[in-house]
Amino acid sequence: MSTAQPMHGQVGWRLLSSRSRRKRITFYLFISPWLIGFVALGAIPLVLGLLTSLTNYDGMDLAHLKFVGLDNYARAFADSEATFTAGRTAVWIAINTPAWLVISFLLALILNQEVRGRGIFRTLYYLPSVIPAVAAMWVWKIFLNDNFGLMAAMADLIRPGTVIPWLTKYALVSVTFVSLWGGLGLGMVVFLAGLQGIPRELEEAAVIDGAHQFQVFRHVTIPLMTPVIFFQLVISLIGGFQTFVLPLLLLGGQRDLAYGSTPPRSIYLYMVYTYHQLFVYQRFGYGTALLWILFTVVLVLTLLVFWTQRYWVYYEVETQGEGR
Amino acid sequence: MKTLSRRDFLRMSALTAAGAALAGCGPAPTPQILKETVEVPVEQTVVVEPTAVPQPTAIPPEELEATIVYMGISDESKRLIDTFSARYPKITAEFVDDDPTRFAAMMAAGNPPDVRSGSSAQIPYMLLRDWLLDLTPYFETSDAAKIDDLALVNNYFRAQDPVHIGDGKIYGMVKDWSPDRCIWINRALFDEAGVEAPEDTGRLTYDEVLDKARKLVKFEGDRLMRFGFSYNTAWTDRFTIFNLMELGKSLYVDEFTRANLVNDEDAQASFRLFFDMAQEKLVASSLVPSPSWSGGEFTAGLTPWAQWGYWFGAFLKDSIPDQVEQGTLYMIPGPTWSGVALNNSIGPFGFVISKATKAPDAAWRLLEWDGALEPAVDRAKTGYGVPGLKSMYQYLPQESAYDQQRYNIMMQEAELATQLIPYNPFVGEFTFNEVWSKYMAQALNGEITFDDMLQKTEEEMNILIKEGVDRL
Repeated sequence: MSTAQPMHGQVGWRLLSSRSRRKRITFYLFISPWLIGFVALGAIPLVLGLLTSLTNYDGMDLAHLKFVGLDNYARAFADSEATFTAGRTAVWIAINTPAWLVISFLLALILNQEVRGRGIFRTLYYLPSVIPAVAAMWVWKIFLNDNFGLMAAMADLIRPGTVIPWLTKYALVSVTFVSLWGGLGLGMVVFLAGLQGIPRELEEAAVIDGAHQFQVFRHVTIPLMTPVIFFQLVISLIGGFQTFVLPLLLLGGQRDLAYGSTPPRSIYLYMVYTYHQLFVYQRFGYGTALLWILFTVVLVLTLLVFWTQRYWVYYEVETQGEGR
Repeated sequence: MKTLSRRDFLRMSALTAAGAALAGCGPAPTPQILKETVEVPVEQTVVVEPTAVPQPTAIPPEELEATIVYMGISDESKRLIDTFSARYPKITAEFVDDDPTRFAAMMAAGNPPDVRSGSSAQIPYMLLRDWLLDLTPYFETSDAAKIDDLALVNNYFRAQDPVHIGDGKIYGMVKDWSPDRCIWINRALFDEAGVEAPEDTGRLTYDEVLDKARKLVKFEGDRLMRFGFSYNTAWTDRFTIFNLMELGKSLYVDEFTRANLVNDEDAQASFRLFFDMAQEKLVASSLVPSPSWSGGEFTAGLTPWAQWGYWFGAFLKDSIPDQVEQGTLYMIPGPTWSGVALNNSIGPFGFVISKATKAPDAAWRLLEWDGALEPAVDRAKTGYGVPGLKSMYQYLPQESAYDQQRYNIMMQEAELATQLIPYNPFVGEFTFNEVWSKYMAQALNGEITFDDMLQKTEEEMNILIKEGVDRL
């Protein structure tokens, strides 16, 4: 009787297969929490939202649900208010995004210097980011009230009887300011991390070659920071389109406060309009259609930004087809 | 056996998730089979079968065994659950916070709360969707919640059908209420302004309110220092409906299928009053945002008077006890639009039981407990609202002159709570106000005229109402 002995190659293959299997199992185990979360809290709601957008669902009554096809989408494109709020959102992004990028970058540059107490300043600038949004909006709302707020009282000291309509005529200014106040810290931290990743030798080499500070900044710092700027631009754009809490809480949202939950026209943003469609008018079908349109627009815009990176984003490590 | 690649795994996961999602979008619950016709909207008839109403069980309440869910709105409700469980040890009551999103999710899942404490303004809406259990047999046999002991305001929970509220079957009862048209006066601020404070023995007209508001408002330069009047501006539509009710009219016609503003001079006149108040900066509006709410304006001394009901007196005792002690704060009867005296609750809070409940008897015991037994007595003693049972009025605070005064006015106004605000069953409770305030802000800014504002409000409301009708 002869017993077939495993050949050396077969033993090797089994060992490799066993190791590969373990690695595979480990991989799936590690990604499963995220994957389950993504599927349960991301993918499924997305699909359900899409299905809801094809119905006349009012958020409560499934017994009278009707399939309406693409009517909600057609309605969105014919809806002058939806178009108006989309326009206001574009204006909001055009103002807020560059301001946020530039100011947070400047802050990071300043706080990257070797100055005494910079740790305290970094903390102070970051602090607004950790304050809960609702609490912050309530305080700002009282602070900025046209007649009774702290700003009004301070203006009154300088010129009695002065009213600066922060929450009405200058609503866009107020919202931009409060948004920057709350968001600069986070942007600053990310830019700071990027700045501290720039090899000092490159800057020193440029100085040795005769470059002055601005030239070093322009030809060394900025190019090496473009990946961070790119990242910040993308998240800022996505966040800008989704702006909702700020205008609603600062300028509307309380039932007894005179003007329902509609903010002034200058800051009547797309997401606020969508909120009204969903929870005030109970047009869940139409509201989810608006959300899917927004999702599509944001996706296309993000892809466009990704496509442009080949022209202006520099990576230290060359990756195929990306950056320079 | 071929091992699964990562790519294949992710692909299969996505397919599984999509399948689960589609499975979740299964057929909607089958509507009830219809036998008897009840006319609801003009062009549609919703035929509703008179399903057998659960009859109160003969089982002693202490022996009732069930698990029920109570959706409530305050911490007080959470405490209530504990005391309820002590009385009915075999009934497990779970409390959930009242939240529109959660309620919608529970309804969508076919698992609504057994008992819900909420605004009576939603009764027509819920009735139209056949969500509510007829509680008439329970009230007929209850020793605690007797039908003839129910205050008039409980008629918000009685209905023949969704468009005829006020009598008929009983679908719930009031938890507490207030005659909401009353006005609270700060005599000290009236004196400061040199304006005669109204007494509680008479009833102002809205024209007199406007006249006094114009004298009371205070500016320093362009800066508003004191409002001329304060009221819950989210109730502008409801106050207008009250005004129209005095004339035997309504904001809605054709059984709630149409809003009627543009062709009704009285509706226009009522909205004109509130618009003028806002335009002249007498009240908070989009021109003059309030730093708080109308009640907060009153406690901060930013307004000499605010239109709130009986419950506001208890709030003042807690918020500004010193001023209450000084005796300068008091309540007066609600104003009248045309000379007719009407003063009902804008929308009292109360209890209803879901028709889908699997434990109606246990749910009733919880409703009866909270609405007609010890918790109701305890609530009455706080003075934060008028109880739903007339026999409990005696528990309202009356020791101090302050409490006695507001109690007397409340009792006087309670006799006038004869007509109910007709809430539209086809749209949400606050829909009209949201639409109106959006266009009002544009009109106040001069972007559109007052007439355009009414036109646009009416048009948009009619679109929303039609959607509500078509949905059914």
